[in-house]
Amino acid sequence: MKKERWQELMHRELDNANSPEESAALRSHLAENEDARRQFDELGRVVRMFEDAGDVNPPASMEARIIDAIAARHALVERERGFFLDFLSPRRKIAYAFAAGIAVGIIVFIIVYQALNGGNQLNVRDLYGTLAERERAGAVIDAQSAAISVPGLAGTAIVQYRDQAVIASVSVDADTEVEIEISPAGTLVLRSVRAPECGPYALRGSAEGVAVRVNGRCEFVAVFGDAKGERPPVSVRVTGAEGTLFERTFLVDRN
Amino acid sequence: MKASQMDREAFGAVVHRYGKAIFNVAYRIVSDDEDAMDITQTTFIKAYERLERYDPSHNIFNWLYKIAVHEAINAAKRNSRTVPLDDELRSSPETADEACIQNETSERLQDALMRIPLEYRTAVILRHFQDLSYAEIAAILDIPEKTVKSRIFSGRRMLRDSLLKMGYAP
Repeated sequence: MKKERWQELMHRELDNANSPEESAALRSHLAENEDARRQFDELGRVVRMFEDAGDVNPPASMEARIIDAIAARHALVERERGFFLDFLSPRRKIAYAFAAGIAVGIIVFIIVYQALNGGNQLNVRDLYGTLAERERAGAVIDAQSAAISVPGLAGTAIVQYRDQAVIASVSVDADTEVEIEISPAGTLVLRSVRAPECGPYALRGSAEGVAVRVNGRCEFVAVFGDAKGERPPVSVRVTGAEGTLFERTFLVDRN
Repeated sequence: MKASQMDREAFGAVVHRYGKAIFNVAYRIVSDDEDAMDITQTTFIKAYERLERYDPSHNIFNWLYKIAVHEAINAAKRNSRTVPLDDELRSSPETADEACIQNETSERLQDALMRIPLEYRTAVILRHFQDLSYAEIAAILDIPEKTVKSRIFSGRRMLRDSLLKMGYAP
């Protein structure tokens, strides 16, 4: 029998883990091998030392100490649970409901207030449209228009001089991306712009006026305030990738 | 009784029944009665806190052992009380805690146990002091049964060598 095998059987024998056949094989080997017998005896004595050693007696106070520690722990858990239950007590629930009601009331008030006083500010496109329409309500003093018709670009440019404002509207249908720029002369102040029925567009403002970059169909409207009663010229320019496609300066009939 | 229904009084009975055994396994691993007492106390407090998670279909003793052994191993690692095999003979009967050590054999064995590495010591203690099977030890230590056997076999050899070096011929 190989050394590894009988050593394993020896340990298993000490642990009562051998089958009867394995035990018999080990005993047969021990009878023939003195070294194996010596090792088995030594290890057997070690195992018997465990049996002889017996139990260690814990301190007499140990059990009471553990019970006290558990009681203290239990009390702590109960206190924490009590705090949690108190946290959800009926009295506190009323307070939470009251606070929640106040919070909801404040939110509702803000929403209603905004709807009544500044609702239009919620949507920039609506704002621009509403203001433009408001300006359109005034009497028209003069209006001028021009057709835009160049290869790849068709549309109309209209400038209206009204009581309170100057409204410039440019409708285009462009095959490629174009920039529509509306620039009044003098001290006209830009009040609003809108670009309804346009696809994606990019708006650009400047000291001279306002411009929008579009591709396809678009109606671009800019409203300027009538500063000091003046009615200065308004330039409309449409620029494509290869340069200016359309340019026109509108001037009120002063007669 | 379901674990979740076990009240404090019933748990007191568990402490009474298993306290000494848990103390013994802790003491044999750390070789210090105060540490062993702390480990025993911690074991029962943790068990009490985890009662909801205890599966009553399993042996509560093995469940307590598992908690205790891990606590004891952690304590032993913190204290690093293991003495190398080649060290001088550590203790004499005069320095041993007479309240805890019942006889000379126990004391010699404890001296020798403290000279073998912790993982071997733990396996041997669970096998011989607590009479647990390889499978039970494997479950407690979270290691394969094959590793348990290897540790017990090697641990016993180390223990024999240690006793011989200490002059206690087994």
